[in-house]
Amino acid sequence: MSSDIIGLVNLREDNPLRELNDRRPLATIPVGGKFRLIDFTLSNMVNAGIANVGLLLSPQSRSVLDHIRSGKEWGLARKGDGLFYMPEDLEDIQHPVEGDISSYYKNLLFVKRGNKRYVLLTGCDTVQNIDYDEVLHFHRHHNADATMIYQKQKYAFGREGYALIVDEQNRVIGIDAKPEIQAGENLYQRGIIIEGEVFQHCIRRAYAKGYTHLVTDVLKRNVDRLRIFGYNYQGYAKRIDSVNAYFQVNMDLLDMQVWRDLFFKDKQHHIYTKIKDEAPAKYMEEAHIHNSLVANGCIIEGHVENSILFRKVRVGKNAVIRNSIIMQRTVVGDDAQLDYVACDKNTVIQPEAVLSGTKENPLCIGKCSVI
Amino acid sequence: MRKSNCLAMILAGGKGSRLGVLTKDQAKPGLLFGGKYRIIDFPLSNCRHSGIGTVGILTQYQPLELNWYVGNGSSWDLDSDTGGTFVLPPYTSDAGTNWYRGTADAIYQNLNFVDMVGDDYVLILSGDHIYSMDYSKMLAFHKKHGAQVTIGTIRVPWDEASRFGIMVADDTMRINKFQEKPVKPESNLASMGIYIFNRSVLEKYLKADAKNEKSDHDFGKNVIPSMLADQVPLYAYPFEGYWKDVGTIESLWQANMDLIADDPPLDLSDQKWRIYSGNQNMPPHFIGPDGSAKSSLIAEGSAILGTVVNSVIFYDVIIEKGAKVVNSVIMPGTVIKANAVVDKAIIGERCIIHENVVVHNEDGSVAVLGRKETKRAAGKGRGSV
Repeated sequence: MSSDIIGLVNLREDNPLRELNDRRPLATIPVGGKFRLIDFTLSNMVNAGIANVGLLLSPQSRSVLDHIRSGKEWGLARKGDGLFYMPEDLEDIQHPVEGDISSYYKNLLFVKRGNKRYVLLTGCDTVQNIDYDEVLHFHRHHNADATMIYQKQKYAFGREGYALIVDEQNRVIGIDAKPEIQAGENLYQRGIIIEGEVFQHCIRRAYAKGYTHLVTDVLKRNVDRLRIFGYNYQGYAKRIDSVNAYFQVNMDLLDMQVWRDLFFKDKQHHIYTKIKDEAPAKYMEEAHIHNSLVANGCIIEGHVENSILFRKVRVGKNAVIRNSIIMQRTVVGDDAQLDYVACDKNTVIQPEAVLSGTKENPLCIGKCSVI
Repeated sequence: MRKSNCLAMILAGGKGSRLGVLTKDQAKPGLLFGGKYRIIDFPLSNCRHSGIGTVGILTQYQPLELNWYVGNGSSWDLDSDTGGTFVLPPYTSDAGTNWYRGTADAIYQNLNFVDMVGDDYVLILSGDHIYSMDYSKMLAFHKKHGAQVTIGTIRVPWDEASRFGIMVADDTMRINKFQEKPVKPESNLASMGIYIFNRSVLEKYLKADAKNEKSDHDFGKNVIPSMLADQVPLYAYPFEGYWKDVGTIESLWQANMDLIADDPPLDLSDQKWRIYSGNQNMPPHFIGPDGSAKSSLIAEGSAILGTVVNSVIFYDVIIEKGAKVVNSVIMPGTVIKANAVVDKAIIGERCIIHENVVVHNEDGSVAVLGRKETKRAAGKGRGSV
């Protein structure tokens, strides 16, 4: 039963993306036309019946709180259970500590009081619609102490990550921190189901010994002593750790198969987000649109192709938008031209402006700019 | 939150029999409209924006879907601890089991609820109309004129006045005559079916009406005329703005088409008066490589791989490659298969229009498909065109 899981989401380990999140944590980066990255993490948890979720907040958390508020939209505004916000200690803000062990240690009481058999540890950097019920089933089937979620890479990932070495019984026999993950390697996806007792014990010991990282200092060191298994997740999952990855994830959604896999995989597995009550998107007489994702509240008079339009974007007459990501409330003026551009929210693109980036190097425009 | 001292009662029991298959298994206020809304979203959102804290919804005909949709009212921010949303179906009591025999009887049978809430004013609304209206202005008008009853009215074209209940009012807007669908209207001030009553007057006249066996127990037909006869101060509140009764297939289609205009008479994107609705948790809609859309409203969750012109597409609709949807309303969950054509039609929820099928009425009337209907190409069995 997944209601026997307590969720712990670590928002403190994010890598910043230039322009896109200099003023907000990765968790609240707008993605997929109406979502924030954290929506995927929270929705996957509640879809598996997890009712107790703790958020380890980073110091820049205004946008996280503003987005989630009571957690009502995710069904997490509950009596007793629900969402728990865990801000950082003043001491840790002034003297940042490396790794996640200290964060977990200082919030062990949440896990203890939650009184659930399992703990699900995740981050907030991956777009996916994963069924944690299945992961739990796998975990119990293998009588594991901890189950780490990974994806076997079809292509070279090209960026850093942990590669899991698993045997034929899916038991993790090694964990390697690699500067570049190659094709065929098992990239760890920042998701662990771990027995609550084991977690508390390990974290206490590790903290006392001055260890800093759960994966390298606790799990890697104990692959022989603990029963650690690897769960190979085969659905769509992409980590956002660079502007290119960010661009790619959004563009992936223009493949109808990916769009359906992420959002219509199962009628019970919705991805929830903050409700805005916008009207359906409106296409005017002069609108031309192809191969795009469009959210409610948009009003389109111009030409849009291969692009993602978030809620309440306005596209003026004869404006041409190609290969771009236009975030909420952005106004693109008449006759403006955009190609390979990511416009953050509330941006105003003046009439006749011409902006372009390239596929390899998209042009990012910061929040609330006027161009 | 401070209470408004005005309770709203929404009459939502009507069948809307002129809407045919569209209201076969649900009440008219639950009817889908405008790409993501149901008709009852309009009075409920208006209540929320007008500061009304307690809403009673009187249901009778096919209430299941409406009850499920309204829930606790949280979608409209009407789920407060000091008020809230209450669905009020007919019930049995010592006096027997009574269906609601008319609009007035429906309120009469819930006078105990009105009393329990205890607000001094009772706003009575119908769940049948599309409009944005600030009821607090009407309440202020009611108080200012010292009225016992205020009736919401709208000016209609003179040549249409004989279709409405017409109010004849003096310069101060006090009503001195009421004409139900008059052949020779003396005014063009039509009743919108919106009333504000002082609670004591409402109780008095509803109790008297309930005893009258000859009465049809209708506000317009019975209660208002008997108040006028007793010279109770009745006032007409003149509303200005878009107000549409979607009582027929043709008017429902037209009201949807009104939204498509570049400058629509009803602005759904008005930030100060958002129309709230039940949330469907859909992703942004997808327009395919060969898809296109012009002069249309398209809701989230739909996939448009074909062509959409002059249409309203609800959520979770699939329009396959080569399919063409023109001048139509496509309700949620419907699939229009490859190369099918839908022209001037209202297609109900979860229908399937098969490949190459044409849905269009040659006589120019609106073609209608009810819920879960399937249209196959000619020669392939039931439902062929």
